[in-house]
Amino acid sequence: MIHLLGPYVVAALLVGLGVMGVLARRNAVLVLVGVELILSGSLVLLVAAGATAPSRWEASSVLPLFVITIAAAEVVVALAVILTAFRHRGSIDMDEAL
Amino acid sequence: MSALQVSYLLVLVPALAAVATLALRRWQGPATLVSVGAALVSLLLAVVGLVVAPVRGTDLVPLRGSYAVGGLDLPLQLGAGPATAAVAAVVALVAAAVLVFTRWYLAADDRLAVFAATVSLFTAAMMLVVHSRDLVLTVVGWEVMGWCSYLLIGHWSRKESARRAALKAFLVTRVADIGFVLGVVGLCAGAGSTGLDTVVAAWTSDEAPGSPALRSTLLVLVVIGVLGKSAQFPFQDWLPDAMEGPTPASALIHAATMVAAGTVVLAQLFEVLVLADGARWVLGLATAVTMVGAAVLALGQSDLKRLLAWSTVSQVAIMLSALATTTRDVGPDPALFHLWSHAIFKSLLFLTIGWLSVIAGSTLASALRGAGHGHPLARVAWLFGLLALAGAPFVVGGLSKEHVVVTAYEGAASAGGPGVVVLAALLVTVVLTAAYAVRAHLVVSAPVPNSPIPPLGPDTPGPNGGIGEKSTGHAGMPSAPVLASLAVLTVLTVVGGLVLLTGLFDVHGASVWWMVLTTLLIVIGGGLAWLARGSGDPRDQFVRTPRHRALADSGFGADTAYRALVARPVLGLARVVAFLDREVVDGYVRGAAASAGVAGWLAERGHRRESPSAGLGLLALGLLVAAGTAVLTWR
Amino acid sequence: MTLEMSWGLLLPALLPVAAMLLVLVVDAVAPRARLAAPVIGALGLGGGAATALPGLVGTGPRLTLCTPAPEGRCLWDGGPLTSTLQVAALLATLAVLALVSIHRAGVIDVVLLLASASGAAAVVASRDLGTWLVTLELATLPVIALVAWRDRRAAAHGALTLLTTSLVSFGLLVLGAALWVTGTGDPTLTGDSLATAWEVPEQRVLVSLATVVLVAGLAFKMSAVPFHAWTPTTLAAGPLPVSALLASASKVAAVGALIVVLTPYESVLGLSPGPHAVVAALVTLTVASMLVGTVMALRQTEVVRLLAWSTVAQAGWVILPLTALTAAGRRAAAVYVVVYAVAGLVAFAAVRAVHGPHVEDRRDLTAYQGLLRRDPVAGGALALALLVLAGLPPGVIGLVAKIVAIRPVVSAGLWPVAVVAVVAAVLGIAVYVRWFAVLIGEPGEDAPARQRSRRASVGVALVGSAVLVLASVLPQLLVGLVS
Repeated sequence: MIHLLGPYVVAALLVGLGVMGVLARRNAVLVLVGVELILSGSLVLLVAAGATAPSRWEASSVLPLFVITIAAAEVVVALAVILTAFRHRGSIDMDEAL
Repeated sequence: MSALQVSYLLVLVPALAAVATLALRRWQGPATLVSVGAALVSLLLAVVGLVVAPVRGTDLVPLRGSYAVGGLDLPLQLGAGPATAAVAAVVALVAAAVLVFTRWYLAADDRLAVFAATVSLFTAAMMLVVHSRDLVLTVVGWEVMGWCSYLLIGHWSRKESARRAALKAFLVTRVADIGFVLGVVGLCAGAGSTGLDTVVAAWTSDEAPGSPALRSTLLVLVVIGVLGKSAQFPFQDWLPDAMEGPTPASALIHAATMVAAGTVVLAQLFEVLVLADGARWVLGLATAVTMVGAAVLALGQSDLKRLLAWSTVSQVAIMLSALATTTRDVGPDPALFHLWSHAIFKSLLFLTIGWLSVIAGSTLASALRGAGHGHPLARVAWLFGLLALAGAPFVVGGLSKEHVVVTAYEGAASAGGPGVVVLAALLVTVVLTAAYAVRAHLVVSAPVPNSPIPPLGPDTPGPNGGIGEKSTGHAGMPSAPVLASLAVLTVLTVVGGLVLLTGLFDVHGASVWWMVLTTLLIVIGGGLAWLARGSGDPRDQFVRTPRHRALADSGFGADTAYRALVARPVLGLARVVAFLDREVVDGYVRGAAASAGVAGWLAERGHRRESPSAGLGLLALGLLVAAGTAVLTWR
Repeated sequence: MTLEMSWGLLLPALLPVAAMLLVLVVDAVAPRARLAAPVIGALGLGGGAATALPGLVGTGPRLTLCTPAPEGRCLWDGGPLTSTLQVAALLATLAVLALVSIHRAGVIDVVLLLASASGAAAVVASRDLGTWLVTLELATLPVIALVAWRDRRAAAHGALTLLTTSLVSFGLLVLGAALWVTGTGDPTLTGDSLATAWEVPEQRVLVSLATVVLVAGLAFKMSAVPFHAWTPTTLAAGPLPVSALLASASKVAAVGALIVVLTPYESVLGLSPGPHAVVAALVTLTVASMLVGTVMALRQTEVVRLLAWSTVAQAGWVILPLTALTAAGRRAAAVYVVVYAVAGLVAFAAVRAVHGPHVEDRRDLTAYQGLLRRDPVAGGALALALLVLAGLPPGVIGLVAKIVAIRPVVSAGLWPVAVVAVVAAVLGIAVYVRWFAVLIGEPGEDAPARQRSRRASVGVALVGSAVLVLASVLPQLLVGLVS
């Protein structure tokens, strides 16, 4: 079993990158990418959490599956909305006035 | 049908009739039929109640349990008893007669249905007060009666004088009601319950909830409320002005019900009143002053309806004085018996004068002169009503007044209490009552005047001012039901004394010596009036100068006294309070509004760039706070 | 490992899903039947609400999806509080379906509404993170699609705003879930697991941080400050029925989710290092929302933006009793959100009745001048809703809800928060009375004409007003439901 420091650092890095992406970017697709980074960091954290002791719930195996599925559905909706907005405005710059 | 069921029905039936009449008010015919029908049903129920009335002293099983709120017990019960049944019967009778009369009298009025509905509601409230065995219900009935009397007095609301009279009646009785409510609240709080039996038992027991002085003070407060509602000194001036209302309203309010409600309440609280000396002195003195003063004023009135009003004030004073002077073994029933007989003969007098005023076009004495000619039933009714008013022996008014005098004598004899003062006042009043009764009779049965006054049209005032009654254009002959009800009232005036045989009122027998004495006084008074009559203006009988006339007509200036002593200071105080509220208290409110506006402007500037990334900027702030708390709570 | 299931308790969430599938099948088989979709949708929502009703009066524990003993945990709780929120969410969605109106509701609208309602009904009953995450997102995502569905330019902008905030919220929720699993070791949200984790200091920190992050993620959906920026934009730009959905059913789902997250904290309330971080986070949210929302609402002249800022302020009020972290606080929050949802629906329905389906412009306060006299039905319903939101008689239920919300805070001893709440209540009265005063004024000459095709909106407004009046006359019906 690997030492858990590694996964925790990776998770923290991913979440940090994701938050920075969300805050600093004005493009809607890039905000989506930032959120996906946050999700990846959380997934790493989840998997690492179950690595120490086996629990009867096996949450660290099941929950990531749930999260990935939801994220997929979310991306579908997100891209649909972004496409609609793009069709109307010609750009997906979120700071642009209506 | 048990007595308690009759009590509940007697309250419910008029209340429902009022609602139904109001709902049907666009169709006047059916609406008034509903109220008249309900009144007749109530009368039947009241007669049934007389038959099934329980014997005095039996305890009735209540129909449902009592409520408890906080530390206070609320039985909210109605009750029944022999005297209660008798008073309820006479209230139902007068209400029925008034409604029948109204159908004829106000047939051309466009708000007849509203009037009938208000009369029904008023009857329901009076029945509630009569039957109530719970002080909360009494207060409810009391206040509803006050409101209904405002509506009835001001019925012809297009006239300024009617509006003013209604407002005056309402305000004067309201001021007195402060005392009433305070007294009732104190009594209930001391007893821990609002049930009448519990309150009486608590305040008459040896471990009374407060000192005797407290008991006396609370009863004095209740007595003040009663003085207001019954138009006694110093609250007497609203009743003559209330004659602005239609005559049926005066017959109902000022004969049988509202002015007598105080007597009923004090009779219910009788056992506590007997122990409260202060209250008995206040009541006794006030009624003594009132009965003499009102009788003097009745002698000088230029309007016969106002004469009847002052006579009501005087008679109610007699009723209440019986409660002030009576002892525990005599009980409150002499007062209730006088209430009973006064209701009958006073309503007869009011209804008759209503009829006569339709013939003559106004209620001024000068207009009514000789109006009785050609209407024998009116003359007979007038005669018997006045005989009862004067107190002729064996007529119902005489019997009841004689019992009151005997009670006052016994009260004076046993010492303690205002018995002597009241007895003296009673004897003087007997003389004066006989005098103005004879005067009233002389006016109506005088020889026909030389120039007959033509009946007036609907909205014109009577000659020389006065209360111009609306002419109904009926050529003076009322409908058959009205005549029938007047006949019933006349018969009852004569033979009503037989009620003593039924044992409904618990009074001692008549005393021969006192009957002789009172008859002598009546003859003296009547003789004075007869001798003082002239052949000229009947108003000049007792008042010779215009200044005397004005003094009599204005009730010794009581209205001006009310305005100067009460209205002006209260309005001044109200202006001060309004100023304080506007400038001082509202300053804080305006300041709060200003600061909210500034805060809003600041927040709006913060939200100026409404783009999604700015929202995420706030997200950053939130995350910073979250991380900060996490770090801070690390250890 | 087998799960013990009692289907009756699961029906409030399953019936809308079944209706959704049926709608899709009917659309595939018979595309011409245009009325089939709304009717089936309405039946599904009504049926779901009906099956949740037994939970309101039932006395025994209503748990299902339980794992076997030892250490059995039940993953679905259908008690009175849950059932109340389920009924509220389902009926609110039904009302929104009526607002979309039978003739204009297409298959996609109905399917999205049903999916959102099913998610809302399920999230309030979930007791483990997996169910919670899935059903919460099921409640949220369809609404984003609904905002953009009508394909107008302003709606697209509003949908974009809502989308980005929802994405970030989901990210935060998953992060919080991961932290929770790391801290407690199991994904169920129960007091026992929290109490065991609370004893170890490092786990305690993790669990507090997890809850704070979860609360932050949920605060997006609840429009609490400082996560509220999407609310005015989206509510004003989107179609009115969807704005009504966002203000009512979505709030019920979010509050239910928050209640589920905070339920375990009852077991650590009295322990010596108490849950101060969580309480501090909740207090910050509630105070900021109440004050900022009210103050901004005072400056609005456009009606939907006023309702949006009032949503922000009411979110503060909903979170207020939760700061006490007691069972009484959770019940108070449920009562408040139900009252607020009904009143908000009535207000939106009245706005729609006044302006009609094409609602992009002239939704100013001046259009409501003298509405009570011009249009007594819509005006009366709107006036009642405003009074309930302000907490003034005759909207007694609003006043009762505010009192019920402040009481747990006072019993927990959080006096400064209670004082701020009272100040916010007073300011809040000004917000709604400003609109109310316009309603009861004299109608001007240039009042907009009455719209046609407003039967559904008026119907929703009337039914909602009837519920408010009934609750005002018998407030113990509502308060007793969740006790």
